Amino acid sequence: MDTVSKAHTEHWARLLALLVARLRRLDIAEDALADAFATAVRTWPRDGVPDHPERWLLTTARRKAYDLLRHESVVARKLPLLVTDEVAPAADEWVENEVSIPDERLRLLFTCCHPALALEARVALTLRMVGGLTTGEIARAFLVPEPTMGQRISRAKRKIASAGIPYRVPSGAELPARLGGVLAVLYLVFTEGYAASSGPGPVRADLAAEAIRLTRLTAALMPDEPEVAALLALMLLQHSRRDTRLSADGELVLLTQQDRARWHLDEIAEALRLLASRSPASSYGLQARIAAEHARAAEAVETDWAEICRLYEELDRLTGSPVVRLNRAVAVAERDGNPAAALGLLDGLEDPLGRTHLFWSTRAELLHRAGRDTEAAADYDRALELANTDAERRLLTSRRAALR
Amino acid sequence: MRFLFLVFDDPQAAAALTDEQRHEYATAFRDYAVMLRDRGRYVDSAGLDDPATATVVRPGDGMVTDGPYAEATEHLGAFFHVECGDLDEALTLAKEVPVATGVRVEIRPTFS
Repeated sequence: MDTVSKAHTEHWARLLALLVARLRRLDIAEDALADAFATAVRTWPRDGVPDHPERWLLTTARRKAYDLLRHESVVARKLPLLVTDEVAPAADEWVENEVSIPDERLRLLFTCCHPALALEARVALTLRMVGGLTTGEIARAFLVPEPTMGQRISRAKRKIASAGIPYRVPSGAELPARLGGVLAVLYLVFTEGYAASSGPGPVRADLAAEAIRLTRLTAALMPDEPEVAALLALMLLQHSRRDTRLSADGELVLLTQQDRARWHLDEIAEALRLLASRSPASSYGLQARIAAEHARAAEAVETDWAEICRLYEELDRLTGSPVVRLNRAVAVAERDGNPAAALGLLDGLEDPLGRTHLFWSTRAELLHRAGRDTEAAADYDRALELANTDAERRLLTSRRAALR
Repeated sequence: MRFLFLVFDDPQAAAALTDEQRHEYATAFRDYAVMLRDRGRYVDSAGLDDPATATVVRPGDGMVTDGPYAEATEHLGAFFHVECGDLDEALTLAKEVPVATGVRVEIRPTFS
């Protein structure tokens, strides 16, 4: 990675968060910082990398911001200043006089994930502002045209300023719900990396890696929040299997058939450490502990299905989610060695899950184990109609062909 | 900054309220306005009469028609104009808006 890209990865969010705090303008801060990095791309190779790249970028961006503010059309309706809790220091005082550059990234994160913004806007804005991805990169990751993504991001920035969304980390009673909202955005970015809703390939590991980077950052900034650590552990455990989810010819490989020697052991170890210290009985915490049980088994046959069933039962009780019930049924079938109890758990799930291929493919597999292949074939047909990616369709076709 | 809380009601449910319920709602409405005033947040408020009492005039040619502009499953039943530091404070206050048949409160920043 070249020096500017490295500086971008390391400093973008921190510098932007600080510029936003001082300028109280998301749009100006973003344009000015992007311009500073563009200047660095031109001048660093020629003049050498400055002694303090972070400070150089901040000073350059700040100068650019004042240019932008000066030239802002008097006619155009300016965006109102962001609401903040403190009075901004006078124009030139705020860089040179600071010994260390303050960390305002949490404020940036919470503002980008405010519930008054549509979920898709929160996701896009977080990736742009905190992740530092370009609009084009985000557009490609979410399979929408770049102008559409550009509009989504600028509309969100306008709403933040005009609607009075504060640039602040919520405190006290507000915090748990708002933190939950932030984690939901991060997890959505992660899962989007693994389950492209359509298209040829099922794994977009770069988006998942970006989600992990942002969650790691959040965990570092909020070390006392066990929920953040639990989500980070969950992501690491799922991501540690990325190289074994697809076979050499691009077919999806089920968890029990993956080559465990190729799981990323360092990431598993980090996740287990995170869970060992504190593992909340929350949705992310329980999901992470389930993933950890799989990660602990050196071979699929060593999996502690009884413990996994116990954790799923707790998760089912906590969330009441039909998807959790479906996964619990699979675990129960593995524990029992027969599908009778598992099929019972699927009762009532057809209504909420009948539009997803996972319900039909799961029931098909259980029916097949119960020797009811005719019914299984009908369920595989339904699953094939609803599958989203080519890899899913190929897996379902091969399993249907194996029926008697 | 200032925000307008637009309180939308269900017209059918509003018509079905008993006198006692109406009285309770009016009291809660006044208490809420007093609370806003005590906290220095109050700008203005009012309840709106039934949509059947509405008259519509078209600016320009001045054409007058009877009745609400459009039939709707919910209508504007009341508003509060408040002074708040930011949207989070406005959201906290708006959650306390008294509801008789209220289905939602829309929060809009205002400017003059």
